Amino acid sequence: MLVVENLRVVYANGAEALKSISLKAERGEIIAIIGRSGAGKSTLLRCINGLQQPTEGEIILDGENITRMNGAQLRRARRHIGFIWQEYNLVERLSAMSNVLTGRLGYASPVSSFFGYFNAQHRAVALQNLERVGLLHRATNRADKLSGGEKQRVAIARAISQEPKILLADEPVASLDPELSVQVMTDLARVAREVGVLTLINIHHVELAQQFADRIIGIAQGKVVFDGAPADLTEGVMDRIYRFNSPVAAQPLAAH
Amino acid sequence: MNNAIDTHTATDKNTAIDRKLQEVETLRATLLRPIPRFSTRGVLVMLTIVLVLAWSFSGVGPSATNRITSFFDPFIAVGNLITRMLPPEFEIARSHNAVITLFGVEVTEFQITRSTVNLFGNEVEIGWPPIITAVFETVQMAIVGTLGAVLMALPLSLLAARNTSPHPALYQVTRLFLNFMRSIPELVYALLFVAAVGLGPFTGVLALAFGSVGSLTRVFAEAIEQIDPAQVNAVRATGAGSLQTFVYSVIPQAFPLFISYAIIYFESNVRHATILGYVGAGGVGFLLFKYTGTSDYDNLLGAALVMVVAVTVIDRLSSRLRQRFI
Repeated sequence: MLVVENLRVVYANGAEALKSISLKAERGEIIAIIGRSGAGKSTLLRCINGLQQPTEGEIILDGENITRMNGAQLRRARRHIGFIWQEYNLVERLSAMSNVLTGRLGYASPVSSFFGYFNAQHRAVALQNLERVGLLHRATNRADKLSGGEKQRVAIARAISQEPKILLADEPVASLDPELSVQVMTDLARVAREVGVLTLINIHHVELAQQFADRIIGIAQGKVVFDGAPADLTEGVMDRIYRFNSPVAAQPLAAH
Repeated sequence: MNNAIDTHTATDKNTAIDRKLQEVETLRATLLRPIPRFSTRGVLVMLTIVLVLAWSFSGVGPSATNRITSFFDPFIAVGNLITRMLPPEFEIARSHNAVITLFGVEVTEFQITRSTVNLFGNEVEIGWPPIITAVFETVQMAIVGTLGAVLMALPLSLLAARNTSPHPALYQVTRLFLNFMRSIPELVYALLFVAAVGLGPFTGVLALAFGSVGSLTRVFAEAIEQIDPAQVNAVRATGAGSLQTFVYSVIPQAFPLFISYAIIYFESNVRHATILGYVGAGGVGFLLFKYTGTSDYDNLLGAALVMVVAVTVIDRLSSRLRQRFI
């Protein structure tokens, strides 16, 4: 379904965000990507969405090569790539329902959607997804009147309404308190399983990653250093992902 | 007895649940409607808008003196005007007495007289166009006028900002005074000052200064109101006096906005100053008055083109300057 091969990204300022990333993922998997800040997690997601052009390597989604697309092709491909942002990025002045309907824009006619017209099928999809995240009662509220957890749920409904082949979430709960983080992650994982979409989640909380993902990929210094089941995430693996150059972690070893 | 009450509350609960379900179903149905249902309120709003528009058009439509009888007449009239403006011309002064002074000391004086040269077989007049002098005078008026407005607005804005005003009554009085100042347009100030101090660019400077001080004070005061009070409190907590607190916490926060607004007002004053010459208060307005009065539309277009260049250059320079302060 998704094949990433030898992905390398060097920014214009010479910084090497990704050295060489290779991974394969199948339909319906929920994968958590963990790693330190600056390890290249966000860069990887941005590459899959075509927001960032890789220096080397290929990304193939459902047989289509994302890295070799022109603007129009990329727009068509993005229709099938749902994205969930850390800061929700809802259109604040539109209602929750309208925000979810924006997920249908890739399918709706440009002329009629300009005048705010979405046919009953589009509306039915949006409504179903809004109910999936339990926010029917907030449908007519403006997005800026919603709480943080509700905003992120609307964002999930919007992404799912794209009927995506892949769902990318970049730190979806980093702006929420621990309690809400669990609730939103529960909703995200449940909805992703219901529709059976491949989901990649960048996440800082290792516990949440272990709780909700089927598979965990650890990235350190632009390389995949772990790829396996949550249960295999041992202390030694965590050291490789998070404490590869930390003298604090090295001290106890020296003492022995 | 107890049983009776229980069944009663149970049926109550059931009807409540039914009503809730009903509401959910209506909400679903509304959200699924591709075209929203017209509400009475929406229809009334639309009707009001249509009525207001109809009323406005009825009052300002073309009258018999406008010589507009068909749909095409306005376009023909504008076309005529444009052909009378083309090609643009630049009036050349018969002789211009150029005096170059440096800090009040005369460096040199010379005459630029109009002469005709033969350029590729065409007779071309060269010399000093008075529009250049007028544009420079307009810019000078705008600079000095804006400076005057800023100097008046700085102390006034302290009184007009809610968080720095010494007393609510003084705040209200200042705001009232500013509204009064603001409700009079620059051109009216120019007419008043022409009557008071006579003709010339200085009259224009006064008109610009008094014409913009009202709104400039208001935006200065709003800049002061937007500052972070925590920073002010932190400085006050060190034991600083009220003037010290002001200089070290209010001014540093509001300063970039002050500069930015002053530059914006300078730009708009350049544009406002062009009209003041119509009533004899200096700048390019006098030339525009002369050209329109004599139906000299070729020269009018020439003057307008020079002003376009001047205003564009000023806008670019000042927005570049403004970016340094934000």
